[in-house]
Amino acid sequence: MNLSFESMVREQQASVRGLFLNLTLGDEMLSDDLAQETFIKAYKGWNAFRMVSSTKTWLFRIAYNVFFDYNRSRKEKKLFDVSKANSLTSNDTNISVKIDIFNAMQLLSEQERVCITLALVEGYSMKEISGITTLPENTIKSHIFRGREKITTYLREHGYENKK
Amino acid sequence: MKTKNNIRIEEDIVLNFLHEYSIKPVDNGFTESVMEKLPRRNIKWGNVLQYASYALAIIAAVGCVYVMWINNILTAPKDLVGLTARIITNGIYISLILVAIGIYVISNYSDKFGLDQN
Repeated sequence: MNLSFESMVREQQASVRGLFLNLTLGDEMLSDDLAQETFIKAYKGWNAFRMVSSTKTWLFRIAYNVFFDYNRSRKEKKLFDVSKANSLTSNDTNISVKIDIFNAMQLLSEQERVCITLALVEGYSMKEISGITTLPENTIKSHIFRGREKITTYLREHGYENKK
Repeated sequence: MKTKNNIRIEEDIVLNFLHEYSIKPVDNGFTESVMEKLPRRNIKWGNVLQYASYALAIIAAVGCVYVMWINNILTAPKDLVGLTARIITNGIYISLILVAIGIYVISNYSDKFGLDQN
């Protein structure tokens, strides 16, 4: 069982950590901590997991709860610091663009950020997001709409060109 | 390298944008560190105690039947030493039953005592 769990972790770690990177506005260390907690919780429920949903969806549901448990446990008003995105160790050359994205994402509420990430980065449908977050589909739609508006406005204001 | 000014905001700007620039972390030992931190599942102490209590209960019950049948019914103590020995052996087997019951209770409520390591 450990072997199959390990291969699942290896397969899914990028998605889960990527999700947390978006939710924590690029805080790599915090993302890894939350991802680790997600996998430990997943391990405890691994025997009971019956593959009724995809493994990734199941993991994201756990990750969503871990993220909001973490937020609830924090006392500070300002949850995440975009400047930590500077610590991203990837060798890409678009770090400034990423920081701008995280700055734009910072304007979103946590629910909006979750919905935007799941819908636009991970490509989940409203129904699937509803399954992960337990939010009604209409609420998710409005979170995504408002989130997109905020990001688009921010990017326009910061020099990104509007083609339309 | 793309710069701000040649990245266009199209109708689906956020979709394309987030897709293109979303970060896909490489493993770099993450899986190993998760596997190291997983809780151990080798021993379920609650189960061990429960089985031990069943075994003890059976031994104690058989012992008590033996004592009652052989000692108390078929034979009678002939002197004070015999009577003392009988009291002691009865006491031992009754104690065994009590211990078995105690272990059974503990094993069933082991989670409340923090004994179940699962």
